[in-house]
Amino acid sequence: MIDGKLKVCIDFKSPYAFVAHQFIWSIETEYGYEIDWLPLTLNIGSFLGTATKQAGGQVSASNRSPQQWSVVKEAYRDARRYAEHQGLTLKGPLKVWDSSFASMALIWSQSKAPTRHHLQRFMTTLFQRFWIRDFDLQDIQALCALMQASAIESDGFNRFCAEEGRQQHDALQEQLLAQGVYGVPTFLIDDEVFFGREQIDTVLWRLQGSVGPMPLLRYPWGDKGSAAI
Amino acid sequence: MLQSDRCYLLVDLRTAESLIALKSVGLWSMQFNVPLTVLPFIKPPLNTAKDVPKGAADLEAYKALRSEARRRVRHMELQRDMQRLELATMEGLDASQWQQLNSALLHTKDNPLAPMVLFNALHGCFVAATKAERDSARQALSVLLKAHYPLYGERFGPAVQAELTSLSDLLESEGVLSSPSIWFQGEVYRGAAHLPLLSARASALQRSEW
Repeated sequence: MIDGKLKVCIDFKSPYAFVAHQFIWSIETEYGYEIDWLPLTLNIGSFLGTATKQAGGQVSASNRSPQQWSVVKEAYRDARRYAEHQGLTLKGPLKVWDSSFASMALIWSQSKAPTRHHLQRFMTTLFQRFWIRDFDLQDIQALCALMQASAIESDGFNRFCAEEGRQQHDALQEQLLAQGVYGVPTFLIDDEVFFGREQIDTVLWRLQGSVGPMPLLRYPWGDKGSAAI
Repeated sequence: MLQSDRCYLLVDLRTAESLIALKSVGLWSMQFNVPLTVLPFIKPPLNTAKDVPKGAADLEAYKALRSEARRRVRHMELQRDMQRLELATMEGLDASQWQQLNSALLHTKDNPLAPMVLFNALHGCFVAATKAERDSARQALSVLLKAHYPLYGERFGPAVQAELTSLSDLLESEGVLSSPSIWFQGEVYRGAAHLPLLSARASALQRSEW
């Protein structure tokens, strides 16, 4: 058995993190390995360019190359296959979001949530509302309201975002990049990095002592978010 | 060019990922009785960051850090893939031999080779421990390829290169972005990690045919 705690890096604006989220939670709820959630705020523009769409879906501004568009469209098409199978709605965002406040909300909520169940509820609601375009990731007050609805203390979050939270967040981004985290979801066990939700079986295998052959990569295909090794 | 009643596995046999896909998708096709054709898809690895215009110093620093992180994780994944393949190395074939292998897949004779047989023959070349075993495995691979692929053994010249490029371009226009990919029922799936989903779709297809 591995003694090191499992760390999982996510970003609420990632469609892959969205469709992986419940499966990742099952590593804790079904297999008993407590997860240390770490926010990685992706700078999407640095590797996929940027684009803005109107509400009807027409692109109003973009600096993306044809290949970047192909990759983005394929990513959403693919994530949507898996979202629909889980009964989730995934609507493509109308702009490239700055999710750093939501990332700080994750840092905050993880320390303030009365139980892990409250944290899971907060994260699940945030993901689900964002992906139906019903949540502004850049709105601190909306994040506070969501914390309150999840019974998580929100007093002081505003100041946290301006001071300590921002410092923690920015330092974490540098630390994670240096460790090899460049996308989400990423799993960290000690110094080993596992990128992508297709690694969940391998992560569990590693956590359980690497007994038997290493599992092949596979995207979880359950109907209720079970890792089902 | 792609037939809707077949499944296609698009590979670059030089990579461990494609070798794993050859085995797992090959087994899947047998399990679900789905006709499978293996074709080469040879393109440089995807790198969308290169299309981002040069920016301010902090953006460039971020891009460099991210690129290095990506390189490190790809290396870790390659090591894990080698463990999954139970191989210590995939070295030993030179660039022209790999080119011949990939381009051989462009055409098959009347008796197509089962993907699992190709996997076993290729895997045998790398798992061999001694020089004599390696020579013997390569000889067996060569005999097998000559029996099934008319292009194998031909000089890798401009005509074959052009055909390889043309096929890869065509597949790209069908939505294929990287190797290995799977084309099934008109949709592209990147990587063999999609097999649980594909199993569900193949089962549904079988039920509908009954």
